[in-house]
Formats: sequence, C-alpha cells, structure tokens
Amino acid sequence: MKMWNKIIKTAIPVAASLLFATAANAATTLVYPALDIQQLTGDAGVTSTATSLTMGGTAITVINSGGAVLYNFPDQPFSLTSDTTGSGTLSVGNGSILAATFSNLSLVDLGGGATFSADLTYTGGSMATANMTGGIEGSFFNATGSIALGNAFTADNLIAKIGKVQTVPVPAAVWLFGSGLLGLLGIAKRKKAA
Amino acid sequence: MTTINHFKSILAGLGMCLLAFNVSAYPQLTFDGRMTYNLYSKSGLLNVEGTLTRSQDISLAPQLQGSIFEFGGQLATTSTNSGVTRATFTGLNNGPDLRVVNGDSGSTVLLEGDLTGLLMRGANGSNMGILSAQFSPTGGSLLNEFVVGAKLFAFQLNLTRNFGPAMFGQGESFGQGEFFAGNVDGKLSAPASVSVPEPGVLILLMLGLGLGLLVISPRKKFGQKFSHHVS
Repeated sequence: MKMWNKIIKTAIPVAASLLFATAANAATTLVYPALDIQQLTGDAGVTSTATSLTMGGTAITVINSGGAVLYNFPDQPFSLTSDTTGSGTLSVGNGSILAATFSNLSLVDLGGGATFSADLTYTGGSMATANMTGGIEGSFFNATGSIALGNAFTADNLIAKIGKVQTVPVPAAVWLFGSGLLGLLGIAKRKKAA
Repeated sequence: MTTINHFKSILAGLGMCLLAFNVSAYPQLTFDGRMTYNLYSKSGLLNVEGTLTRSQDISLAPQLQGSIFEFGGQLATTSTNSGVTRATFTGLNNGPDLRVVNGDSGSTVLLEGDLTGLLMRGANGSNMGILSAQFSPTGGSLLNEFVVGAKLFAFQLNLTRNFGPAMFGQGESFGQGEFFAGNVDGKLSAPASVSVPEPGVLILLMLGLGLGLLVISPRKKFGQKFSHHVS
C-alpha cells in the first residue's frame, strides 16, 4: 500500500509535467476545407516597414485536403495589416466573407522565402458563423530584405490558407515521459525488493 | 487641313496601338494537393500531385475540374544550418519532372518540362516549409507562355514529419515506403517581362480608329461649310 502511495505521489507531478511539456511542444495542423489565398496580377503582395506589415492577395477557392475545389467563388480581395507585435486585422471580401483580428503573427526567414502563421479570432463575415477561431498559414518569396516584423522589405508570390487549426501533441515528448514513468515504476519495484 | 487632322488621328491611333502591344501578362497556374516523400533503396523521392485551382493570363483557359498538376524530384543533398533544414532534388530519371494535364476528356497535356534547382526548406521543429525551382518547358499547348524564366513556388503545410536533420532519412535503413506526407499549395508563374499582345484590344482599337475617321471627316466638312454660312 505504501509503495502505491509513493508511486502515485511521484506520478502526479510527472503526469502534470507531461501535460505541460506536450502542450508546450505542440505543433499545429490546419484543418481542411480551407480558404485558398493567392497573389494575382495587381495584388499588393507583402510590404513591411518599421511600423507595420501589410499583405494583399485574392481569395480564389475553398479547397479540400486532396486539392479538390469545393467552392469556386468569384475572386475576393484579401488583406492583412499587422503591427510590429504581430497583432492586427484581416479581411476577405472586404469583410463579407471573413473579418478577423489576429495575434501571434510569426515570420520565419528561410532565405529567399518565408513561412508565416497567426491565430485568428473571427469578428464577422459568412465564414465566421461556424467557428469563431482559426488560423492563417502561408508563405511568400523573393524578399528584398531581411524578413522580420519591424524590418523594411517587400516580397511577392504570396500563398496562404485560412481554416480551423488543431493542436497536435508531439509524439516524441509523450514517449519520453512514458519511458520516464516506466523508470519510476522500476525504481519503486527495486525499493520494494530491498 | 483635313489631311493634317487625319494624320494626327492616325498618329494617336498608332501610339495607342503600341501601348496595347506592350501590355504585360503574368501567365500563372495555381494548384493544390498532396505531397509524399518516399524512400527507395536508401534514396528519397518527392512526389506532388494536385489539381489546378486557377489560371491567369493564359491563352488557353484550362478546364479546372479534373485537371492534374504533378511534379517530383529525386533527393540529392540535405543540410541543416542556422536552424533551417534544406534539401535539394534532381530531376526524375524517366519522363518530365513536371506535368500539367487538362481536365478535358482527351487529357490534353497543357505543359510538361524539367525542374532545376528544386529546393525544399523549413525551420527545424516546424511542419511548414517552402519549395522553389526553375522550370524549363519541353512540351504542351502552353509551352510558349512559360518558355522564359518560369518558376515554381509552393507552400507546404501539415507535414507529418517536422523539419530537422533526420527529416529525409538519407542513407539510413528505414526500409521502403512513405516516409512523410503533407499538403501543398503553389503556383507556376512566368515573369512580368513576358509581353503578350492582346488581340481583343487591338481589334477594338482599329475598329474605333476606322469608325472615328469616318465620323470625323463629314463633321469637319460640315463644320467648314457651316462656318462659311455663318460668316
């Protein structure tokens, strides 16, 4: 009985750490169907200054994960404006399809191109009726300067997706903590034997 | 006087005509689909298969439904530097590296050709990345529109394996089969320097010029006669 108490006492903090570590290392997955954004002729692309970042493109379709077009609506303007902290507003179809605020806009400079993502909170538009939160993930290319919020640069070939976002636990962390738990059980067993 | 006016109109018309000839087009095909990376005999094969989602400034508008956009490459090198993992790919051994097939019943080949400098890169620990390459067309009905400086850009997301030094399993004994997969959203585009005359505009311009001359001449004559009567 004493042994089980010890195990439980040790396991609870470990389990709490497991949850913490899993959440901390979680990757995100964009759930389809998703809104497809492309930079077409006449679209602004990406412009960043010392005080703001703007993106201009066109929403062209709603797409499923296999690439099939679920809904091919007439071209709708897409725009995003961010401050240097990574917060701002976004709209599709001038807000008729989607209006949202966002936070945690992060840019990753990959040399000659970049990926970006942000967490969305929908504030209006026909797409906002089912889910009030989502995400945007995308990329752009041919940047003229160092890519970071607050830096001056321009880029083109903007490509992005908007949809629901799922948090996926990182499997490696789960396995590490699982093996840790097994180790604790082993220690308890050895103590019992002693 | 009338001859000078006609001459002025013709000059203006020719000027507009030249402007119309210099209208730049940006041929572009966008696609969406799935990618897989497979290991075969300790080497990697990247394969992307999707559908066309839109076209822009293309002379032959493709039938989007049922169309196919596919490309691939054989893993050449991998490297990790400053937290970014990069992989380069060479062309496929058999057949074109990239192929676009129209969604019509005849499965017309819209475009096919080779990719050079195919590069995939992403930040370590991330399941998002980018692909880029130069494209040299070798066939298809849209060959002429992508013949100069065409480039492939793609965004990769939801990859089932995060970027990192061991991402591509190069030279390791993982056996054969799918190593990782994900979604791809991208475009094939030709540069702005491609100048495409717009026949519709030219025809309208020439018609307008001809009709304008027909209308102007009698009015000028009438105006001269009327001014004589007034004086």
